[in-house]
Amino acid sequence: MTSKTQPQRHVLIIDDDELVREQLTSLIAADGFRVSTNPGTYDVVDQAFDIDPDLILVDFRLPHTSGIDLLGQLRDRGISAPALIMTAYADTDLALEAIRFGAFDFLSKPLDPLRLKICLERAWAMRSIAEENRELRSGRPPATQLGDATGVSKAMQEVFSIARRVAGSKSTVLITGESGTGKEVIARALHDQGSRANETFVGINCSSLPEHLLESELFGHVRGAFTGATTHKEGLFVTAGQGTIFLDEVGDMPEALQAKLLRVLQEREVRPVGSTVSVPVRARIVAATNADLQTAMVKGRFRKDLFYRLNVIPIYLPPLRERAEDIGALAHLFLERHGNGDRHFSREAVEILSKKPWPGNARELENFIERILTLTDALLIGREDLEKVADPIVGIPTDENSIDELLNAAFRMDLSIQALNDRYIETVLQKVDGCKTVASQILGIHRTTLYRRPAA
Amino acid sequence: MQELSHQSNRDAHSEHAIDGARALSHVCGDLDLFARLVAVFLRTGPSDIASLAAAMRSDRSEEACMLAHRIAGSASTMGARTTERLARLIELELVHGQTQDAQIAMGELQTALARDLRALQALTFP
Repeated sequence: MTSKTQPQRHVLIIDDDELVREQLTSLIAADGFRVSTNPGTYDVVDQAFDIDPDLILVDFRLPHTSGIDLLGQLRDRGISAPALIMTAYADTDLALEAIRFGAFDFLSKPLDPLRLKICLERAWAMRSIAEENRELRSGRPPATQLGDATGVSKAMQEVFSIARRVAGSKSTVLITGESGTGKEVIARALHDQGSRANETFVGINCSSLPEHLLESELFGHVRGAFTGATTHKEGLFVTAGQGTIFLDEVGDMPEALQAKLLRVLQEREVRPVGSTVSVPVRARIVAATNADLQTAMVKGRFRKDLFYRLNVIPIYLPPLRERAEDIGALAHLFLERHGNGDRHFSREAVEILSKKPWPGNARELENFIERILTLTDALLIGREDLEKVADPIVGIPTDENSIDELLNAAFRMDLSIQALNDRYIETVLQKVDGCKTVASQILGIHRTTLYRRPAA
Repeated sequence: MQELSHQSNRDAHSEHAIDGARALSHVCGDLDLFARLVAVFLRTGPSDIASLAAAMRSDRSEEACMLAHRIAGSASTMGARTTERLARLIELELVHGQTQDAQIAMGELQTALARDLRALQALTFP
């Protein structure tokens, strides 16, 4: 797990159970880390101060104190290493309390070696980020751009910091966030900023294809594997080579394929449909979803083991409404992207744009700006221009937009029920990137109704 | 390994058996590590339970809770499920001040642990 060029990481294990100390020492040392242990005696803070560990694993219950209190004592002595709290029961309340008091994550006993490994990988990533943040605070200006992504908000600077740090690693990344927040942009930035920049980047939307087609796209197939398989097809895991494979909307992946994907992540090899020969996978895997995977796991729709395998480095992209300070920067970015350089927003226009909730996030903002540039001519784009190109039904999205206003607008336009119905269906489909399954859930109609519907 | 599998199969028939598959999953199937953990448990198990009994006799509930907690954790790692369950029960009863119930369960815990230790002692490793 450790690179030969990196200094050896030092882990401190604090547990009164000799069995746990022995188990953890062996499992962690086998990955090349240096390990020190302490049964939770009074000298533990001094020992931690002396060795300055890179990671601390501490039991929740210790003979003379609690793991949380001990963590406080360690922090008071200036020991800032990330800490993992170990609890004997999968007690979420205890774990949350531990995290609230500064633990990085928690591990349930008996310890699961796989979960331990993943926690260690995340801890190293977080440790590196903390080191980088210290450097940033020491004088360098904060980053406001990463590849095609831009943002001045604290939330996005943290995203850029994590992304920049992990771009060069091979760890699997799971990007979460609402539709339109820029998950693919971040995935591409991860690829472009790392050592794989000159390799292939391939992406696929896991919710856009029927199961058998998705399987064939991802894993490939041999000739004759099924009816219609007239030629050999290389899967995207192989096409990506030593580059990056981006699995968008992984939360919508059919369950059977989740099992196959898990196997790819575990074995780092893929077997094309109909083949008996496995092919090694060298690509870095970046997955993304706008689905709530925690709920999906509880409902049995998404495999827990796959989640843990994917969620090695989590990156969360907050919705645009929670980082209004980014809207101005994004608006100017889209203006540059779609304009010819001689048009600008008035300050009032930027203020108006910044007050809108943008439920479709950056994608909706970009579409809106493209529309302004196409439909208006003013060099200085002001309020009137925004109002001119506002959607006749939705208007310039405002906090005050209400269903009443929308219905009044429809009434003024003499819109029929059918027209309103069609427009709403189109809007929902656009918001969910054309995914009819998700759209049908939002609309409360059967999916086949959408499939039977003539194309707009 | 054969001995471990044998123990695992016995789970269906005896609640005192060691769950070998579960225990091995805690060490990534590393038999050397498992053998070392068995050695630790054979050494610490008897002393921990003796300390637990002494703490309960002297009404040192907090210490007793701690020891029951530790025994439960160790037993869980070793796949000694009955011992784990009984130790957790005792810990819970002590937390709620039900010392008499804890004393009753203590006898069962001593019996279960003795059986588990014998089973682990009988294991052979390649």
